[in-house]
Amino acid sequence: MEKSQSYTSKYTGKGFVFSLDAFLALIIAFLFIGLIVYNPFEENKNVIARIEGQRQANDLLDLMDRKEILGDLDLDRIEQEMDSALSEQYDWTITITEYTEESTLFSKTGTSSIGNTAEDLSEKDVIKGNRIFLSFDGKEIDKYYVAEYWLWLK
Amino acid sequence: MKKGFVFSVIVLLAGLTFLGFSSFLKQNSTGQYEGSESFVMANRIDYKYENIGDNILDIMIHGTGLSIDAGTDYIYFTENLPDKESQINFYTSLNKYVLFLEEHTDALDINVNVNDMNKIVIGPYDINFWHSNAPGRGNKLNNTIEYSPGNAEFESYVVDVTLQNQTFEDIVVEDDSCMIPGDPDGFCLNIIVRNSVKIPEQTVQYCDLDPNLSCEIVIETSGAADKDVHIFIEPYARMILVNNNSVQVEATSGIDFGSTEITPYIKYPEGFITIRDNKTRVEKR
Repeated sequence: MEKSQSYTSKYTGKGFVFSLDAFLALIIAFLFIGLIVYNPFEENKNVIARIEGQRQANDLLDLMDRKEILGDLDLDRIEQEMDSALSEQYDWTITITEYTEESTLFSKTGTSSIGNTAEDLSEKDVIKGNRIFLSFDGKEIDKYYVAEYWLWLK
Repeated sequence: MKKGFVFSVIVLLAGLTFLGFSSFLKQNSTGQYEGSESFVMANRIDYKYENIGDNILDIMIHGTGLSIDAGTDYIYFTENLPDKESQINFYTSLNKYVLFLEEHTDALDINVNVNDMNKIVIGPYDINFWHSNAPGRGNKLNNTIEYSPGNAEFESYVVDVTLQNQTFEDIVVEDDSCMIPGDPDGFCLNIIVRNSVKIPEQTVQYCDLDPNLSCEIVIETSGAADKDVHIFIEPYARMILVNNNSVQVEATSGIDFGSTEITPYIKYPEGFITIRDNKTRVEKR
């Protein structure tokens, strides 16, 4: 009986309640701080992934333009190059649109799409970019192309 | 003073400190986000700038027939001189390209200074290479090539001219004011003149050319005296090559840099292409 009384007084004293209150307040404060710090950290991770993806895709399009793979409109080769050089964490699709000019008016004369064209991108956080390239007939521009890519994390 | 009052004051102060700290962190994270958004945009603008530069160089190479050969310590440009049709062609194609660009560039403000289009810069040395209309020298864009380096931190200019349907007579120094023997700042000019089947007719080298003085050298042909090919050396080590004859020559001109660590490359003058994003206010020119 004495033991029970001592137990009760030890955990119901003002000091204990105050310490418990302070401890709980501290936990809540740390959780709050953690959340504030974690949020931008996650955002930064996201930004780094976006920049990395954007750079990879841009460099690849640049390289394929210089190697005239884009200009040849060799879709199989473009697909191979993208799959082999792009990080595995990304999925992608590319649309190449062809334009011709007549009296300074540009009209769309063809479109080709490759990559994962079946994916619904409306819910995805996509990285977008494009590259303009040209084909020539002798000294004059024959056709204008826009290669537009969409990239997202798998 | 009651214990309760002291406790309340301490809690209030702690609360205020905590609020201040939270506000600081929030502000910091917002700043970080804005910074990263600008960084993404800078990356995008940088790529668009390169893309436009590549397209314009493509138009120039195809439109004018200009070919560029760059090695570790030299850069040479080969083209026909004069070639009015090519120059017109180039400007026509360029104007169309700029129209296309305006129609197909999302959300970015892009300005291409078409009027200054014939000027390119040899990097990393910042030497202007252009089809000038230097008064009193060459007066037409289609028959005049000019190099404006600003200094003589290179070894020599090279001019290699292949005559077509013309007979070579001689290379004559009309004005030797810039030829100062032993000039410590001097540079060289190497001239080769070939006949229509590319066999060299004459090769000469002029060295110790003072970068602050002028010279004139004439490649004389069998035609009228005012229809020859002229090479002018002007202050600031400028070199101007003019073909006054309507008969074309194939002109290879360029610069030997001596020992270098960086292969020369082509870039555009500042302000020639300007790209700006109004939201983040990131700009490249």
